[in-house]
Amino acid sequence: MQEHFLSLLIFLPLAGALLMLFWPSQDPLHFRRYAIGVAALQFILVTWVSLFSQFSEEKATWFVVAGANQEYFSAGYHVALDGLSFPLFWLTSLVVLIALVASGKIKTQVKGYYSLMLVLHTAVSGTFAAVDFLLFYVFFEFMLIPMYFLIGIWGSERREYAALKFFIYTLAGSLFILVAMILLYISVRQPGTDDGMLVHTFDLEWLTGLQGLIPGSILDPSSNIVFWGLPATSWVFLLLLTGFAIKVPIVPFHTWLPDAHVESPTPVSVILAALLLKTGTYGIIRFACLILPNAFIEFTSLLSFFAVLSILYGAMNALASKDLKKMIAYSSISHMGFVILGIAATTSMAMQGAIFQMVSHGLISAMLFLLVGSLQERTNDRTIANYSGLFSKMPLYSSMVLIGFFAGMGIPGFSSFIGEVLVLLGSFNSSPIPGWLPMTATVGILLSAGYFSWTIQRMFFGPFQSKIEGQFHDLTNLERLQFLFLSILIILLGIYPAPLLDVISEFSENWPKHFMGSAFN
Amino acid sequence: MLTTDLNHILPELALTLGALIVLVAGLLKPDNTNSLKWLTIVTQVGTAFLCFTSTTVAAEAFSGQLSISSETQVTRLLIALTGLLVTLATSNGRIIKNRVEYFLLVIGLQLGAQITVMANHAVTILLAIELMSLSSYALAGYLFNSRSSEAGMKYFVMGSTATALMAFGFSWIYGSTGELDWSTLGNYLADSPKVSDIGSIGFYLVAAGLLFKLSAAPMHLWAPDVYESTPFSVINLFSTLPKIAAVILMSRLVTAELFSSPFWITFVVAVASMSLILGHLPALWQTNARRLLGYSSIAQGGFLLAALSIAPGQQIVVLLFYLLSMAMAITLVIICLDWFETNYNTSSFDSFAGLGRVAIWPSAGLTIGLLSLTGLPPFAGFSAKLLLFSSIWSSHPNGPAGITFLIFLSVFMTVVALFFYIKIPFQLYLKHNYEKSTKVDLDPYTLLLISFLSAMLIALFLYPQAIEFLMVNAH
Repeated sequence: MQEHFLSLLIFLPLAGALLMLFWPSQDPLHFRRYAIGVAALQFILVTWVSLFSQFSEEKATWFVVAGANQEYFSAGYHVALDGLSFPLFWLTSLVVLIALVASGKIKTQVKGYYSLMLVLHTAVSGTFAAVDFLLFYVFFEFMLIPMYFLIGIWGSERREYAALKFFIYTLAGSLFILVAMILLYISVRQPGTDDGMLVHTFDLEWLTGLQGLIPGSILDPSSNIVFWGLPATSWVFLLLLTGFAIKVPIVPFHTWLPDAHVESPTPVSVILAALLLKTGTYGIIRFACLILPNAFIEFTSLLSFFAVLSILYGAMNALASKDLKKMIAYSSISHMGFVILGIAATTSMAMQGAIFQMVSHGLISAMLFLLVGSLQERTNDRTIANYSGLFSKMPLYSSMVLIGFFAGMGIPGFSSFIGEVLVLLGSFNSSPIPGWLPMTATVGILLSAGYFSWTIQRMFFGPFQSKIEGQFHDLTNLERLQFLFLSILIILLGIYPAPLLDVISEFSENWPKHFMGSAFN
Repeated sequence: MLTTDLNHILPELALTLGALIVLVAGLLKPDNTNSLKWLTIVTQVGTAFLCFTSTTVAAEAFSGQLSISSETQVTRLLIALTGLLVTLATSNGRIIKNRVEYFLLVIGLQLGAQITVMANHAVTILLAIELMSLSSYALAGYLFNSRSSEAGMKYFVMGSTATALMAFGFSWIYGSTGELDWSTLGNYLADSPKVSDIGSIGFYLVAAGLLFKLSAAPMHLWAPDVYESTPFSVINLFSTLPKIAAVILMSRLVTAELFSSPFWITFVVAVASMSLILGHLPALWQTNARRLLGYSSIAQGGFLLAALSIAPGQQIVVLLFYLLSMAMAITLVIICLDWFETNYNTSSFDSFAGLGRVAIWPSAGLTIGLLSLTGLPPFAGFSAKLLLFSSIWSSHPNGPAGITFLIFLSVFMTVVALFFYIKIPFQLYLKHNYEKSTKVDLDPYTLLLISFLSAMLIALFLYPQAIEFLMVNAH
């Protein structure tokens, strides 16, 4: 039982969803409570294991298509958690729980909604836990189907457009990853098998750093296969990078994000921002950079350039936004730019910052989108210009907004500060990327202070005026619970980041060692 | 020896016997469709059983007219099972007058398909394809209205032309090589004859006929029009059986020398790319569910042709997996579309609006089938496409540019495919039902079929080794 605990936890929400689908009850409240119960159970179990125990690695065979004396295709089921994926796995269970708690306003087709959310939970957990590339890919693609229906059925007016755009854009990215995955598969063999039986593998054990490389195959550096001036390994790296960059999203592949966020219901936005974006950065680290370290080193300055571009472009768009939710969506793009900068810097401090920023941004964006959601529920209007002086009407809500926005700015005392500081320090020290890039990135922090404080000043301070008819009642008990919980976590991580940093460090310490053989170290 | 030869074709004999019994039973009791349907099902079950238990490993029957190998055994079984599945999925309501002939024609189609995959000689190939085609022409007109008759006529004229081209092609091949054997044709082509050679022109003419049955470009123009006017169970037949027969016949040409020869690669890349592009892009503008199935059929033909570039040993496994998942997904889609048309009179996409809440199981089944055809996990279509792409690439590791282009084109077209396959689920779930359609109860038989096929699509994804149950006497 102990050995299979990880798989049990990955599939627990799926089992819950299937059970719920066949439940005869019609009362929506039952489904809500049941779903929250399953998610809470998951969260408690994951937290318990993180504090007192450890997840063990699991491996099994899955997909084997064989001929007489040759195995045509084989893929295994291999799940494990390490310093990179464990915080994200924990974040998944937390964020989905919070999103489900915040789903009180969903009143139509409740059963379908909660089942899809639980299925999405399994898909995202599996994405972080999978150590076999094919398994990862299956979970990664599988996330798209529930998201499409969640955005498309329960969203706002332009939901169909947003859902389709999201689905097609991210599917295109996934297909780039598929092509790269197949190329990697045919170039790698499982060591220990004799020459007569060529056993390819998707397992990260043999893919990382191309350890199992078959000499003379397409990805062998010595085979000199060059398309348009770039060797095959660089192409594979670029394919993987593009596929994941669409998910992160890195400018210029970001245009699906504002639409998807604005049109989806609040809880789905929370999951989208807090979790799905992290699968993109996780993919870049685990699959693009670790499998092809030499290609990565060639492209670090390019990657860091696009990171800084995302930081600045996201921040500028946020500054120009008239819609509150769109502003926060663009600020997400900006914050994810920091994560990419941390990855591109190849130092262990920057990587530590990047992973920390992933977790911190997960919590902060959850809080920000829930805040917007609260406002939207009351007045159905997100235009910033239509509000003024909300502090006088909703003091507790405004305090929470202050906490959320200050956290978004990266003020010391909040977790985002730790993340951004580590990333920037690590990037300044980094040799592959030019020094002016991190300097430009700090302008992004300045801009975030700009748009967040300006919004606070416009919407919350000053005399109360509203062009909207709406009930400006302060937070309900459930909302208080959500926001208090998230704020405590954000502040706790901000002043005592050591436990999380320790977990991350076992991964980040080893991170630069992958690039040792290259010219830059 | 005649008795051993007859032993080899025991399943086909059983099928013929079944056809005769159905004919006689139909003459005696023309109104009893149900019993005729079950009689056909019994025949097909018997055929499948005989295919499964056949002990022939590698043989030539009737002095070289038929050639039986492990691939043909497996494919015969696949055809028998697909025919059985399609008959099970036939709903009685849509089969109007002249019912006896319907089941007789279905058995004729299956018989033609089964013989095609075994055929080794030009004359046998022509006979078998004609048997399939003549049954198809009659089936195409089975709604007995003017549109359906027009479709049947169009199919008949174009199909006869295709077969005539085939016959002409065979004559050129005979003139060039002096043989009419299908297997020697493979050897001839492996030497990469120039395009201006008589033999290769002959091959292109023969291929044209086969591509017609596959509904692949450039012989694809009949598919959308014919599909638009035929009953759904007939669309089911057209999308599965002739494609299996045609693609397996072409795959039997591929020897170890042929699959990497420039001639074959050029041919496969050209035809597959054309089918992929001409099948996927026009589908984006369709508003009719039936025409969409027609273009989907062309597109799937493109993927099947791409599979012809795989090395011989692997090719049959990949084709088997792809054909099986495609057949199940198409059958599932058609059962659901048929149910929707019978109960809600749907035809264009708009008429499906909001039905996802009213008709839960058929909508879910339709969505699962369409997502599997697109190639999304967790359905068998994903595994099939994955196997296809990885096998193509591993067969040509230092690939000629054509193969690289083909793979990227297939991947790109999968995204395009999503765009049009998702249109019906989009209407079902994301739109609101403003006419407040009444709920129609699902009869248990259809529910059983929908659940079974959906479960099979997911099970085949989770446990792909199950395909080995079909590998009769393999290797």
